[in-house]
Amino acid sequence: MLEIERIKIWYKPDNDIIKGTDVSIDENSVAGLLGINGAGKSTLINAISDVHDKYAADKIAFRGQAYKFSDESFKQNRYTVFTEENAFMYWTFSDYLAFILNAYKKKPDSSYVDYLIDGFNFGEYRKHELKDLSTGNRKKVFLITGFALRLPLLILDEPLDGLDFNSSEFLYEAINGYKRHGAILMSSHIAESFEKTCDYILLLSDGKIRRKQVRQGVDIRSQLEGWLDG
Amino acid sequence: MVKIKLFLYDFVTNRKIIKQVAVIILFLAASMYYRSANPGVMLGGAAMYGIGLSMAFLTTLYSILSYSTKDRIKAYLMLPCKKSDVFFAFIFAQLFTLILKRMSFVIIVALLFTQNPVIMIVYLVLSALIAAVLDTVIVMSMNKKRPFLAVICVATIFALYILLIRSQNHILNLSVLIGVALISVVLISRFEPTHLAINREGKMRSNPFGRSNYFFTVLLREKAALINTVFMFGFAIALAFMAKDQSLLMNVVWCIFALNTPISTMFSGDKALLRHEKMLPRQSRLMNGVYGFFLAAYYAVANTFTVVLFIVVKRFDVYVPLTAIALVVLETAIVLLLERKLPIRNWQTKQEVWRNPRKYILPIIVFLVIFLPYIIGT
Repeated sequence: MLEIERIKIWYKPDNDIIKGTDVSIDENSVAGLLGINGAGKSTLINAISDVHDKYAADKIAFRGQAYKFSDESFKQNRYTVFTEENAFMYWTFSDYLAFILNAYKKKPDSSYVDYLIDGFNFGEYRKHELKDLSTGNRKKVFLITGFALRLPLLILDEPLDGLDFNSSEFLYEAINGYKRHGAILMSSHIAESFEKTCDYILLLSDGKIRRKQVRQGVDIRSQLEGWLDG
Repeated sequence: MVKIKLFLYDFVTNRKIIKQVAVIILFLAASMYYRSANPGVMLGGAAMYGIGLSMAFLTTLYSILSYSTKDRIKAYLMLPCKKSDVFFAFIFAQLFTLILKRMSFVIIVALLFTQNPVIMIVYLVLSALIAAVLDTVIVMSMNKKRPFLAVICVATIFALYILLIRSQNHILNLSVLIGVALISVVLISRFEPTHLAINREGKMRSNPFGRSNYFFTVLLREKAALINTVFMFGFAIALAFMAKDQSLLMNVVWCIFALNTPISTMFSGDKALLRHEKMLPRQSRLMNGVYGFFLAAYYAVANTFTVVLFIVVKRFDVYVPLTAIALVVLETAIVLLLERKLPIRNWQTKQEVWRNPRKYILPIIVFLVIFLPYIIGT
């Protein structure tokens, strides 16, 4: 679905964080983005999300069509939940969701939104301003919004940060269910999250990405350790 | 020494200190040149006291108000430091920033253009100290839900202001200043360092303003933005009545609302919102649509208010409403352009966003537009 060829991303010229590597995300799949701290996971996500513009790529193709990350047509097909999000602090979840649905010209599927709100146990907070919410509940605002949009590509940057045990379990369920609507690119440091949701892993190391298939029935920790070491 | 620096680098960095010192030296050189060219120019003491105290009080209050919402303050409060060390470090950070970034210029002017520079500098430094301590007490009182104490502190500053501009008795004035400084220090000791941070835990508020426009909500909820806007209107009234007999000066009233930087930097002052806007498709119209509407509404209200002032001071003619309409369009367009093409980055405190030299672009353009007929006419 999303094919990126030889992408370089940098903060300072001549010091590439991502060093001319290929990224490929399949339709209706969950791709895990794995790498040690500082490997460049968030930088890659920021570039795809058009919030970091110091990049160059030989080719960016979305469903066969050539794009730049800043192209409106591409942006209409993806939404990103960042690790830490402090925007719209004076709005409630309901305000924000209505605004975003309008921004993407989407009609809300109320039953699906209710399912997400119940699953994340968020019902009592939907009318509270974001700045009054805890870290985990604030995260849920953007996660629920991201899922509710049902866009072809949903990008989640460390979505488990701040979530309680029950919400984490529900997140896995929501991610797996999302494959019916589109693909997910998810960065995480939690081994269990890859095991429970990902079809394959994009291993980011030394500025290069290697694609690894998750083998079912094999302990995920040993797979991850082997990849990171090798 | 480490403890003293506890909060300092949230307000300044070594690089910013060096840059600021260079600016101060340049200002000193320019002032000395002006002084030698115009030896007769002298400023009154009362004006200097008034400017020094009110500027120190207001700018430090804005700075602390925006800082105390930051999560990182909790990381400092968690450290095993004595209460007195934390307060000392906090006041030191405020005082250092205040003197470096703002009071240094007033001190230079006092040094070169007043009759008793030494006394004047003592006044200014004491005023800065009182402003830093009382502002800290005000913010902590509000965080601790003791608005009465905050009101008393504001009243104290106002009383000091009146005293300094009216009384010529230095012994009395300095005694009062020192007395207030000591009482402020005693007041601070009645608080806990946790009161420095706004504690929102357990507080749940639904947005009372609805989803009509996010920026109206921000304006009504962010104290600094609201206070600044109210001051702008107050200042416009004061200037209009002072300048009612002077056509040129009266037209400066048009420029005042263009100086309301919390309004014109709502994206630059909110990094998360700026990032979110960039992430969203343009059809969200968050900047050009939602923010644009907010700006147009603000400038429409502000310029209509100016029209009313022209009517009240009996200087109304047909060009006044036409100017107002033209300015609403112009000011909205320029702010949007600046926020899109020239957003302010690399700031540590909101104060830095509001003080960024970009703030002068809009008033200068408004000034040129207003005075163009005069310039062409002459």
